[in-house]
Amino acid sequence: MKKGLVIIPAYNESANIRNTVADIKKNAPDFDYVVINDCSKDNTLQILKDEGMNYVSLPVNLGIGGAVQTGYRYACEHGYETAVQVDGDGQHDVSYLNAMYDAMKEKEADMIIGSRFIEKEGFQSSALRRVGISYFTAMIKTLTGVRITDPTSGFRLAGRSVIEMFAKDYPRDYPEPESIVTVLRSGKKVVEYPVKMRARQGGESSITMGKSVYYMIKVSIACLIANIGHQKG
Amino acid sequence: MSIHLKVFLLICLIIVLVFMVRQVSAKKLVLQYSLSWMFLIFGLAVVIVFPGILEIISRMIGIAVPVNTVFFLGFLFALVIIFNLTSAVSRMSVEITRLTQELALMEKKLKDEQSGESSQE
Repeated sequence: MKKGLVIIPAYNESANIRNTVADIKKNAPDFDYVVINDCSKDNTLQILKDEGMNYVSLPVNLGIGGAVQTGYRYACEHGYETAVQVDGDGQHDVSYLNAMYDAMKEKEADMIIGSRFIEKEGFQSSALRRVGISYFTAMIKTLTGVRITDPTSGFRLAGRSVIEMFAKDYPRDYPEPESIVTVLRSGKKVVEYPVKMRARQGGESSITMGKSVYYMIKVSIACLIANIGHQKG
Repeated sequence: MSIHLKVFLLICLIIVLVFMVRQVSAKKLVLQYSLSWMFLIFGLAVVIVFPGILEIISRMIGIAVPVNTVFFLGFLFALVIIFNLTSAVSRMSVEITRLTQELALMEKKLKDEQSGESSQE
């Protein structure tokens, strides 16, 4: 029985996708994987077909939230015990997966987040992004009392109950901080694990300046509303 | 603008805000599209609560009575909301067309595979 499913959301990742999948097969053999092709415009899909990779191809672009949720639905339907998101751009190091899996079991948590900022090693992201990230750390702490040092990290391992939650409902865009609030508010336990991330290996990030402003406003409001949500039951 | 009107408008805005937040919280509305409503509510609230801003805008546009500016801005923000919806509807109609075609083509592929097996050429 495999420990879990690795969900690889991919949008225009033709430069990185082979390496990411090879990395998983080599360094995380206890995990299955599925690539979610989010209607890429480059030849990502062709690569997936040619190399016989395990993939699901979305006919319409849904964005990171929709793509990752597809992965959670797949995990739910195939009965996986855990599911972890690994970005298609090569930033996440899958050799941490076994340790994260063990840590989550040991702490009896429902979700474990790979955080760049616990030991502050490896790729630390730009200064501007770090300001934005600490803003969300403070917001989550104020709303839920839990200190999450890397709330925007996509590198998260989820247990069965969180998989089922996300399969039903997951934010469409900038899902990471908001979904943490939702999980905490429903009484589940979220912990972190120190990891080192790599800089993006190839291709381009999809977050621009204008989008950053929208991001801050939208996610703040979303976290506030997610926080109210479960008090009504 | 009389204090009566200010209080009345603010109460209306608060009712709409509470309603929108509850709808989003109950998953009946997606946050993305209710953001422009929140923008309208916030924009109008600021203009009502700070009369100085209202005066400046009224003079800039050339409106004599400040209360008219409130209604004008409300109308303008409502147009922004409608535009956002127009753009969302356009995008979705393209997506639905794509999905319909994808589904039909997939059904055809499945049928061909099944009849291919049963005829066993």
